[in-house]
Amino acid sequence: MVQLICSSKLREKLERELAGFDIPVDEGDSWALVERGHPLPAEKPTIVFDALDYMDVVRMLVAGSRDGSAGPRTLTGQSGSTFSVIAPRDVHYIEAETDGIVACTAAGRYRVRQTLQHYELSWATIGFIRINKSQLANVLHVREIVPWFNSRYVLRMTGGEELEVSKTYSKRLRTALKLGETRWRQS
Amino acid sequence: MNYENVVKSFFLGLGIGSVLQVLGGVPIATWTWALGILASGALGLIIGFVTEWLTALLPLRIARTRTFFLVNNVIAVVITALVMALLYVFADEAARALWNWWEATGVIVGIVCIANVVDYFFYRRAQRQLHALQEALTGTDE
Repeated sequence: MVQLICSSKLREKLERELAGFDIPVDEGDSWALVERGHPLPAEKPTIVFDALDYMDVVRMLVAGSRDGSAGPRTLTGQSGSTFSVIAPRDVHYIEAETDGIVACTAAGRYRVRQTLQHYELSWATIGFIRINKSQLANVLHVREIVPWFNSRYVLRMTGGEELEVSKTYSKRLRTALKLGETRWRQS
Repeated sequence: MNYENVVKSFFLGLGIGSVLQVLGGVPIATWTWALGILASGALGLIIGFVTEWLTALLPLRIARTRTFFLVNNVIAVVITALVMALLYVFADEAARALWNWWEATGVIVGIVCIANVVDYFFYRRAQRQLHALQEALTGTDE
């Protein structure tokens, strides 16, 4: 449960995002998410965030609430007229296509129901990381990280696929690998 | 284009300038010393800008680790050598007499190469971090 102390516009967005991950919003004894500049509640664990970075707070809450045994166990994917139960660890990457979201495994490509953002948030704790606007990669299936120019990388996957890490998302990859601001190249 | 790298090149230029000043025996904290270092920083900025501009044009489909380090080093060395050659062509007799230009070029190219070797060690570290993260994830997954 989480209490929101923020502008009404941001409240709407946060409530919508949190509801998607079954995190209830209420005024009771719980955590408080406080937009910077708003009054802090007394005697309550509080997370202060900037309005522009509100998705980071959602990500953190989702990761916290899914930590441990509550993590995702399986997902159902459709390939043609067949439905299969897939373990997340078997998914190499997930990508958004024009007509939906596809989970790619060694056995094939499966259409899945949720949005890319859903998997990004709820599967972050099991090693899925956003690498560009339309793809999430499973770190477990990355064989090599190839550095490239202009702050981009290529992930060479165990299945032979090559996925681009765009400039926008490369910082997130470096953070996940605890590389901080370490660069692989300097001019 | 990554402007952060261009700024880093400026500071690398300042560092190289300082080394050259020490090797050239220029008295520290004089106008010549300060201007020399600033000029070196400005050259670093130009070299960084050209290098970034050129490398940003390279398509991702040719991305290979070996290609990256080869291109990175070759471009940096070639552009550095080119700028030094241009400086030599446009320098007057007094300026040419001040430095042993081949030696200075050698020092600069050497430092650029060392920077690239350091880069390679960062790459190796990143692969180790990747494997560590994979092991940690496998551990929590079981």
